[in-house]
Amino acid sequence: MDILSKIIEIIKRLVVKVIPDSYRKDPSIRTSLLKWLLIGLLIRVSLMPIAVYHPDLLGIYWRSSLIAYHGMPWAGGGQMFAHYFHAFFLWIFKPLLPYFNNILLNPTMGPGVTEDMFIAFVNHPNVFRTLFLFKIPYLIFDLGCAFLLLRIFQDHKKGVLAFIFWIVNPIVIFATYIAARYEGIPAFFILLSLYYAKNNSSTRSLLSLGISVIVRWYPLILLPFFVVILGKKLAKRLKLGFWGLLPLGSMVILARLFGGPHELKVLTQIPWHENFFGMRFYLHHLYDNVFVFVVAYTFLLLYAYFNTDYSFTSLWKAVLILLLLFFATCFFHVHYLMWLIPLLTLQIVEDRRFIGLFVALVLCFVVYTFQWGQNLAGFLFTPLDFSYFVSLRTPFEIINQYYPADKFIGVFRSIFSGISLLMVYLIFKEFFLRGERKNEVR
Amino acid sequence: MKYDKKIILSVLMMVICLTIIPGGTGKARENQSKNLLLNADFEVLEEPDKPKFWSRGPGWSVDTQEAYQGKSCLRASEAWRWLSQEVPAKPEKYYSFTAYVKSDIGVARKTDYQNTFLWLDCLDKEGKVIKEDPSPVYVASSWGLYGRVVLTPTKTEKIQVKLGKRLGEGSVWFDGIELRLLSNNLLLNPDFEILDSQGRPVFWGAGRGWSVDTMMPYRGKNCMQGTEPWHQLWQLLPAKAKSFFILNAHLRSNITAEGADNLNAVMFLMCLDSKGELIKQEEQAMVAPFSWQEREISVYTPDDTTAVKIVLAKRLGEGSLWVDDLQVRQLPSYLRIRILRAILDDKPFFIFYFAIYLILVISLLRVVLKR
Repeated sequence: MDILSKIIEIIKRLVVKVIPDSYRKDPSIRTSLLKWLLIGLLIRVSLMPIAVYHPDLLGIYWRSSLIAYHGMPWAGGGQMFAHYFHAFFLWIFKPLLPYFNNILLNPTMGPGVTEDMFIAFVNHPNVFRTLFLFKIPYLIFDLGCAFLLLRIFQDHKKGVLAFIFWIVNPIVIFATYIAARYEGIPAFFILLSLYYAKNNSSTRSLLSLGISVIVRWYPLILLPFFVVILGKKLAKRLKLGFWGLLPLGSMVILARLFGGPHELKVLTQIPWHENFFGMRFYLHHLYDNVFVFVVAYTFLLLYAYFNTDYSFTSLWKAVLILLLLFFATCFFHVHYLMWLIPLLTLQIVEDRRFIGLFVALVLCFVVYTFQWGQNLAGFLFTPLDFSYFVSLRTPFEIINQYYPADKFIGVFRSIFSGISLLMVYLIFKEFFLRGERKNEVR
Repeated sequence: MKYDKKIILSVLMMVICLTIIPGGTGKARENQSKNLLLNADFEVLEEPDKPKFWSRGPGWSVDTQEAYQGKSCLRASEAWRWLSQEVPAKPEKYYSFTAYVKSDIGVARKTDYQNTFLWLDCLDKEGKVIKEDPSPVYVASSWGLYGRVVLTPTKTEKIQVKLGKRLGEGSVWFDGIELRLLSNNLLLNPDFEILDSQGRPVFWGAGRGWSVDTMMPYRGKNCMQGTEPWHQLWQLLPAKAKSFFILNAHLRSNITAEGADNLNAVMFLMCLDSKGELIKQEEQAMVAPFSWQEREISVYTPDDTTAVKIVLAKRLGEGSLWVDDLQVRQLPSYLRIRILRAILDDKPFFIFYFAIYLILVISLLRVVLKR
């Protein structure tokens, strides 16, 4: 029983660490947090073993198993940190996955996941255990985000609201436990970066942001905003830029040491940056294109540069606007939408109108996902019953019976963009144009 | 504090449970049940030419020169004279009935050439025959293993095993008779370890291109190698309607993927009616990888089903397909629901999972109600 008491003591210390003092001392807040945490955990635990998204989840774990179980270093394929992160957890889970080569194996030992691998995976008797274990690392960072939000807000009401918004957020749950992507990890480091920014620790803030860059590339587009808004002078900005790029630089060196191509080269080769250039105006001469997102990005960055008050609020609002512009004007994969949530949480706590807008955004997003056909319909739940879920008609096919499904999805996509742009306008009007500071995060 | 301790203790127990019982691997596929027949090798005699526990008609004699195993075997020299034994049996169960048999009867292979009976009668409580299964077989001149799987009808209380010579000039010798209850695996010779005198696996039908291979079997000494596309390796099982069967097989191949269709192997479960006609078929084409991997296919038999044919075949591509360690199980119909099957297959995980779930639900209720 001594050991048990020690364990309880350790857990208590952990709770003390993750939940700020001020929240713990108020019994009603403590109860509220515990209640919503339990609800959030129940939803998560329900989905963890049953949903699989082909091919992303299996792909990252298969490639990581090359490191963990087959002694093959991973370099040059991109996202080196993410692969070693997953490999680390696979190494920990090894005693629990003695059947791994039966459930997930590419016969050619290539990096891809074939449809046959997917079928073998979802039909394996241990698929539920495997999916549960695969998502445990995501659960850790997901909960980390929720608790970090409590630390960002000193106002209890705002903190609890942010916590609730995160813990039952359909986008967080969908991206992390259904689409099963590791978006929670960069989200955690971005929130950590904001936490440090709020506490005037700009070096740590940029280092955290830099870590999120090596997990996922997208925070790289946020980095200039952090540098411009957190650094008042050129020297400071250069220093912040250095800390922000340090993790990426380290990865470049490590990739070279492992004998793989340049991580930066991989960065330019991965297809998602093409998404930035999807919405464009061709000016009908030679190569004269105007990319809408690049225009908006430039405008916003320069506006921030010339008008910033170097505050924490300016920082997160500018970054939120940037991401809203991205989702309004660029193609995005379904799980990308989680990029928005850490920053949108801060905004929703400030302005309740955004809750309604977010609900509308989610409804449009549901229709947007229909274009992925079976992969985001029946295939998601094939572990439950492969034959049944594969035979299900997709929402795309059902809609197409009555109305051209592409147009239907396009309409909802356009509404989605409209809502995103309205959010941009409201934030811009409230904060930047009026220059008011009524809704500072306290 | 007490409550906290209980929760933590429960979680710890579950984690330990999950850690030490990985589950899902190393399932025993052999049929371990005991032989229901007594004195199956005819080693114990009550009187000369009369093995203990067996009833025999005229024309039966003990032969100590030709035994397949042990010291003696039994020889039948008169047709339609029985050597029989009755054993208690259960209704709607699968039994394997096998015997080592040889014969010196030379019969031309025309329409009626089966020289031996491996007969089974299923009897009810009153001893009335409710199912007769004569199953005449043609037995060759060297010792070989013959037999089949039988499914007892409802109301079966006993099985009567009847051995006998059927026709022709000469004798039939019997040894090592076995009647075993099957539960874990309904297939006979599932890992191709028992071969006939020509080196083919007994109880299996094999088309062109199938042969026994001893290089890198999954289990035991042998596996089967198929080189010709679409030629079948098969075994037939008796079945009744509305039953759920599941086939697991280990496969590997050296066939490299070609084009969009790279599925190099296929498994079938075919439901046949009493006329032997196909009434339902489950088919699964797949990529057999370079190393052994287990694959699964299942079928729920429709009305009028009397047999299920298990079929494996190489599908396409240059190279070979290897198969080994097959298992067919009949599971309760409700196990067609995949998650229920998974729960049985991976009990430690689901104990852990449901315990976590329960702890969360109880904790939530506690928080809500306390408020």
